[in-house]
Formats: sequence, C-alpha cells, structure tokens
Amino acid sequence: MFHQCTTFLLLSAIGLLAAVAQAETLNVRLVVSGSTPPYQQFSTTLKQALAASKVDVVLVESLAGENGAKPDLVIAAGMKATQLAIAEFDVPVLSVMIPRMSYEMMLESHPVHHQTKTTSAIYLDQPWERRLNFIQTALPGHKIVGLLYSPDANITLPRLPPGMSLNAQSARSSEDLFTKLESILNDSDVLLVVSDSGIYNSNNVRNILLTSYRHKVPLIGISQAYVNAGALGAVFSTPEQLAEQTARVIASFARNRRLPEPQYPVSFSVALNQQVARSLGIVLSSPEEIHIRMEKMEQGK
Amino acid sequence: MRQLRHQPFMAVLLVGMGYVNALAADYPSEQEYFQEIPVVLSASRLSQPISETPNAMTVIDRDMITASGARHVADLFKLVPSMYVGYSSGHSPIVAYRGITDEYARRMQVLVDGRSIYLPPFGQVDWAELPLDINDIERVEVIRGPAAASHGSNSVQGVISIYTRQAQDVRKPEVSFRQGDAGISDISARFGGAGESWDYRMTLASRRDSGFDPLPGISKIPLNDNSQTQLINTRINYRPTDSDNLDIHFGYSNSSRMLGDKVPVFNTPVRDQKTSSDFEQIIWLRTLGTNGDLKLNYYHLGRDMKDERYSVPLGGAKAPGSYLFSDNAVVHRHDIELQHTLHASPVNRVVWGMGARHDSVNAPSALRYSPTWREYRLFAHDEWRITPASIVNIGAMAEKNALGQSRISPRISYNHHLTSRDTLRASVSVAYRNPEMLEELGDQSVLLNAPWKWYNVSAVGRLSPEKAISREIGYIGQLDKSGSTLDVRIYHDQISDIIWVDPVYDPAIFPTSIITPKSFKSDFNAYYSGLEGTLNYKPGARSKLTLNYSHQIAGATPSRASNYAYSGYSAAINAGLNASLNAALASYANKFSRTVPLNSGSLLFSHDFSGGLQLGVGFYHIDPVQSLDAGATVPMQPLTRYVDFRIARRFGTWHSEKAKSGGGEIALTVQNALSDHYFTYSVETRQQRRAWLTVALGL
Repeated sequence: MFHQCTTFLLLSAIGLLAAVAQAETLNVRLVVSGSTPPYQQFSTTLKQALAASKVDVVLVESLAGENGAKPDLVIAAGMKATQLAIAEFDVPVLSVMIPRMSYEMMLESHPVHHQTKTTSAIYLDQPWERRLNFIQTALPGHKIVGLLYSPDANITLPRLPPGMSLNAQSARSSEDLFTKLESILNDSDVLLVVSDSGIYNSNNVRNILLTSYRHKVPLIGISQAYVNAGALGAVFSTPEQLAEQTARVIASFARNRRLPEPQYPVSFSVALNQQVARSLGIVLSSPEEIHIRMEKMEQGK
Repeated sequence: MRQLRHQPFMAVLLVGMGYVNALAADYPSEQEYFQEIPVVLSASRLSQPISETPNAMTVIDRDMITASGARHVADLFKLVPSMYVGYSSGHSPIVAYRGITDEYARRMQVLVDGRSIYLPPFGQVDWAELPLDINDIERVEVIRGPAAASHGSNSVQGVISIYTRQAQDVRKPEVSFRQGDAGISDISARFGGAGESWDYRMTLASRRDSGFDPLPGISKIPLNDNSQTQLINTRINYRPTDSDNLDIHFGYSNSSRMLGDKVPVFNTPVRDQKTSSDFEQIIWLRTLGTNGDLKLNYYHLGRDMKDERYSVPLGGAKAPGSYLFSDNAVVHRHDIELQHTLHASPVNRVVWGMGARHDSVNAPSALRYSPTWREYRLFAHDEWRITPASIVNIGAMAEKNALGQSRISPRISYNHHLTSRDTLRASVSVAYRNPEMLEELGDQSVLLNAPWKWYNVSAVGRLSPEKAISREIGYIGQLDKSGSTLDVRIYHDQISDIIWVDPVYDPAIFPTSIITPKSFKSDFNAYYSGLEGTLNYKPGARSKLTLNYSHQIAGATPSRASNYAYSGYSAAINAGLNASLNAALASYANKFSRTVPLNSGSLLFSHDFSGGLQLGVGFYHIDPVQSLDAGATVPMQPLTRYVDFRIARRFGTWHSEKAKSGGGEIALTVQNALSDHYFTYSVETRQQRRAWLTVALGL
C-alpha cells in the first residue's frame, strides 16, 4: 500500500577522493536523543554511509573531557541531543532530525554559542514549498489549504503559489480547537497538518482524523504514521534519508572544516493511503509518479 | 599519500533523561514526526464512494437536515427520490419506499447506528416514539434498492441507515426551545465531555404537539392526535487500547399519543396510548493493523405499549355492552453480529460475518401465543477492483428465519468508471422479506354477546418469504470541481409471493363475527419499474441545491383464483364467496398500480448569507397516490405540492469565532407555506400551515 521513494545525491567519486586525501582524520561525536527506532535507524545508516563514502572518520562515544579526545564535529540527532551538544561541546555542532523552528529558537536562547561556535542543521521538517507542491501534484483541484495551529507554536505561515489560498486559524483550548476545526473544514479543500503538539497531540489526532474524514476533507500528515492512521498522504524524510545527507555534510566538513548553512532535507518520501483516497472519491497517481513530478518542480524553480 | 582509514567506530551517546532544558517545553519536537498513531480510519470506517457502491444511495447530511427545517425524523425522507412520507394522523408518519401498501413499510430495513428498529409483531417502525432527537443525527444514508447481502433480512426495497453524532462531537452544552402552531412545544438539552481515552454525549429532550386539526366538512373522525415524547439518548466512546474502540449507546423514551374519535365508533374511544422504548448497545471495534478490523455489535431493544379501552355499545343484540379491547404489546429484541472487514489485497476488500437475532413478543390480544423467534445469518461481500476503472461488488447473505426457512440473497454489481468523473453501474440482486409475526400468528378477537365476536385477524399461517429480484442500470457523474453530482438510474423490480390481507370466510368463525376476519396470504406477483435521479448542485460557495425526481409505475397480478369449497356452506354460498374473493383479488391488483405516484420530486435549496443569516427552502411534489389500506371508499391522495422554509440567524460565537462568549441561533420554520389545506395519506386527515420559532443557545 505504501511506498517510499528515496533519492540519492551522487557525489563525484574523484572529487571526494581528492578532498579526503588532503584531510586529517576527522573525529566525529554522535549524540542521539533516544534509543527508539528512528535514532537507531539514523545511526545505523550514518555508519554505513560513512563507510561507503571512504571518508577518514572516527566516531567517538564518550562525553568531552572524559577521555580527553576532543571531537572535531558533533552530530546531534534530535532536540535533547542538540541542547546537550550546544551546552557541552566547544566545537562545531551539526544538529539533525530537528524541526527548523526548534533549531532557530534554541539558537536564540544560546546567543553566545551562536556567535562563537559554528552550528548548522539538517532540518527534519519539509519546506512549505515542498508540501504545497505535494498538494498541487497529488490533489490538483484542491485549492484552499486549511491550517490549524496553536498560538504558542510560532508557526510561520507559508506564502501560497498563485491559484491557491490559505485558510489558517489558531486555536488555543481543546474545545476551541474543534469549533475552529469545523470552521476550517467547512471552507477548505485539504487540511495540512503542522508539527504542533498543542493541536496534533495524541489526545486530538484521532478526533481530528475522524472529523476531517466526516467532512470529506483529505488530511495531509507529516509522517508515515499519519498515513497509516488515515491521512490521505504525507511528504517526509526518513531517518535513513537524513543520515545519508548527514554523511555528505560530514564528508564536506572533512574537506574544508566548514559547515554549510542550515538546510532542509534533500531526499524525501511520499506516502499515500489509497484506501482513504478511494473512500473520499479521490483518484491519486502512484507515489512514484508524484515523487518524480515533485522533484521536477523543485529542479525547475 | 597516506593510507585512508575508514573505520567508523560507531558509538551512541544517549542524552540522560535528567537533562531537560526548560526552554524546550514549547519547541516543536521531533517526537511529533516519529509518534506512533493508532489506525483511526480502519477498513470498516471507510465507506465506499457513491460511484463505487453496488446500490444507488442518497445521503442526507446535517446541513440538509437543518436546511429542511424538519422537526420529525420521518420528514427527512421526503428528500429521497421515490420515498413516500405521509401522515395517517399528526403523530403517525408513514415512510415507504416504492408505494404505500399500508401504514407499515414492511419491505424496508431501518437501522439507527446499526440497530434494526423495524420491529415485531407488526413489522413497523414507530417514528414518533424513537428515543432519538433529530438534532443528534449526523447523517442519513438511504440505499435505494435491495441490499440484503450487506444489510440483512428485509432489506428488500431499501435500507435507511441513521447515524447519530459521535460522542466527541458534542463538547459544549446547548439548550433549544421551540414553540409554535398546533401546540408545538419542544425543549432539548445536550452536553458532552471528552477525556484522553473516552468521550460522551447526552441528550434530554421533550416534544409535544396537538397534531392535525379536524377537517371542517368531516364530522365522523374529528382527530384526536395529541402526542408527547420525552427521551434520553447517550453515546459513550471508550478506547481502552490503541486498537480497541468501544461505542456504547443507550436511550429511553416515554411517549403518549391520543387515539380515537370524539364520537367513537364501537372500539375507537378517545384514549392515550402509552409506549416506552429503550435500547442498549455496545459496539466493539478492534483494529487489525492497516489491513482490517473486527466489529462485534450487540444490542437490545425493548418496547412496551399499553393501549386498553372499552368499546361503546353498538346497540342491538350483538354488542349491547362495553367490551375490553387491548393492543398491549411487549417486545424484546436481542441481536449480535460479528463482522470482519479485510483488505485482502490492494484490489480486494472483503466483509464477512455472522449474526443471530432473538425476538420475543408478548401481545396476547394480537397473536395466537407469545412467540420467541430466532434468526441466524451469514454474510460475505467482496469489493473487487479488477482494473482501476472496473469494480465488481459481489456478495450474499444466507439466513435461516424463525419459521425454519433458509434463503440465500445474492447481489452482484459492476461499476465502470468511463472517465474519472463518469461512472456506469449495473446490478442484479435478490432479497427476501420474512413474514411478520402478525402475518403468521395473528389472532385478534373479542367475545361480545355470545356467540357474537369481533374477529379481526385469524392468520392461517404457513407463509413463505416474499422474494424480490431487482435489476438496475445507473449513471453517477461528477459535474464540476465544486462537487456537483448527478445520479440517475432505471430499474425493474419483481416481487413474488406478496403477502396481502385476505378475507376469511371459514364457517367456524366468519358467520359469528360482526366484521369480516382477515388473514394473510401470498397471493400476488408485482413489479415496479421506473427512473429516479438526484442532482446535487453548488451554485456558489455558500449555496447548495438538491433536486430529486422519480417516475414510477407498478402493477400486480393475482397468482391464484379463489377455490373455496367449505363443507359448512352450500355450493351457492361457496360460489358467492369465490366470486367475492376473486373480486377482492382483482380490486387489489387494480389498486396496486395506484400505490405509487407516477411523478414525485423534491428540491432543497440552502444559502448562507453573510451576517449569520441562513435560508433553507424545500419544495415537494407528489402525484396522486393511494394507500391500499386507506379504505375502499377513500379517494386518492390528490396531487400535492408544498413548500417549507426556514430562516435562521446565528449570533455570538455560533456566528463568528471572534465573538468572546455566548452564542446561539434563532430560527423561524414554516411548513406548508403555500396553503392551509393539505391531504397526506388519506383525505380524512389534513395538514395545515404551521410555523414555529426555535431558539438554541450554547452555554
């Protein structure tokens, strides 16, 4: 039912060899926020990707100071790991698997570190443009995008391409939430989930899915789990895809000891729930086809 | 060149739980991207789109319910093509799909949240006393055509499925008051709550009115049809685990309705018929991953009707005194069904299951004994997508009815998407209607001045189910991107072994009865053919138009000729009885074609003006039609056209999200706005223009 597509950015093998030949051995510290499958998948894939990339890398396990080996670079996977890395390490930090909003807010709360040390990130969330491309590609007739967020969430609302419009409302309490949701669903063609635990927490997700289905408004989630639960579709990057991108950033760092600007995930997956689509009377292309068309849209800009 | 070292020694540093930065509290965390979410829209929750269903279907949603201004649940069915809604009195609506053979629509299944409310002993749905407030209805789905394969016994000509609002949908308390003509005085209150693993809603309601008014010209039956109902209706949703969902429903209603004539004719004195109804239901849904689910549905329905009265003396020797007449009946239904829905493959969805029903009735003045009827059913249905454009729905139900008769009701349909917007459907199906308790076991008599009796029903029994074969071809089209749709079909249904009310001339009972006793026999074959369609059109973002049209013809032929040869009568009397019965058979066949209106239709338009003003207008048209039991001398219900409208104004939070607090609505509804003089069902009852004001307040 579900399909994940993965794209890989191919690096020039010659260029890579030339670069690493000049580099010193890179000591990289990986800090992860938990031991759940996403972090495990990330670390496993990162290890494989580094091995395949032939970069001269050592990943060290202990905290700074414990064995005296100061890393050259810290990879911090997730929020907690990033906070720890910024606080504990005096070296460049690459934060991964972190929503852009959280990363930016965290830097603001650590201005000293921001000024004195290099930090960068590979975000976990998808750029608005990509999510809107998905709606345009998968649901061409769906012009009005409904968006529900909590006032505390610091959501930066997207600018929509011509022909599409945004129907965004903020809801504070849980009672308010469903009144607002009904109002949004009455006037929207599609409901776009945002990463906002004030709205999309485990208490509410079930009822939001049921309510939007009853209004015959497809819901676009942020993960495979949403699609399994009943969202029409989602665009997301898997821990594996993020790890591949991280390996490429490490390889680049090994060459020039510089971190690139914070970036969105390059590779992404498209998941669709064909059963929900059929029930809503929506004809969807295959996820592969949608993925190819989205990539073309991104390349064509 | 130094040898490259590629020995990524992987070690993982876990952040201790104690290390939590308070600043992080409001940040969106990656956990929202990685959180597990239980499967919510599991297989059985996903309905087929109308372009892929095996039957024609009409959906009436909350917006339409509101716009129609309907106060009675029964009035909603005026918005279904070919559906007849009439009133034999102010409190007795008649809802029938395909013709009105009598006050009860016996060839239609009626479900409320999956509970069959089509009840013994008469095979009827008592719309007036339902423990259900119209404002608790989320949507109504009407399958037009037989659907026994998916909806069980008696889904012969159609299935009405009423779905009430989910437990989580009532979050704020609200009260509603209604006052108007004809003594209309309603009040309702609803409230609900939600927790992490449970939600509930509860409604308390009371409705009353004084029914229709007597027709000035008719003095024989000045109607006494006041009625009132008080009810409670509750739904609780509990989720003990991520994959288990319990839906618990219960309700109770207490109603009284006035029956009888001010100038009584024998056994029709004015009295109050009192009925209490209750239901308890539990539906356990277990999700089996993304591929299927299991549903166990158990419910109990109880109904206790009290209607006892003494007759007025007839005069003469047959009934000089007063005699006790009773229509008391106590009914209990228990039903359990297990259903497994499975996405067997990406192109196959299978639903199969089994069920059992236990009906017990104590109606000593209507039935020969107090029966307990058990029915068993096994069903399977497959939705098979042969190609993306071709869908076959194939299914069957096997049942063993209470009379020990086994029947199989198959259905096959083929839907072909000509384009993504145009679909053709062809289907053939078979369905059976089981005989009702009254038809099989009816025995209604009162001893008057011996040997005289009032012998109303003496069922001969040994009936077989009525059998329907239905064929149809339909077109479903999506007209534009805003959701306008057209749904048209032509059909031809044949029903064999139609059970009718047959006069009893048995010398053991006929000569001493003051009326002709009745029995039930399978004596007719009938057909229904026609065309029906629905157009849903959105003239603008704030407007909606629904147009229904139906053209129907029907006919019946007797399947036998009378052959009485009672030994108690002379040959001449037997010949006379045969002639009389043959005339009755011919008359029934003759009248049968008039039980459907040739043309009927409805139109519902709704518009939301800015400023919180809403308008709903309904127009209804029905050609002349006649119920078979409205009486031989009663003329047909004439051509009837009527208009209902509703104007509402919302204020406070109901109108604008910006309002701080307090919200509500005030609405004026006018039924029969065009005239003050309508007949429905028979010309002995009259509907007048009625207006009422409803005020709803959110608390």
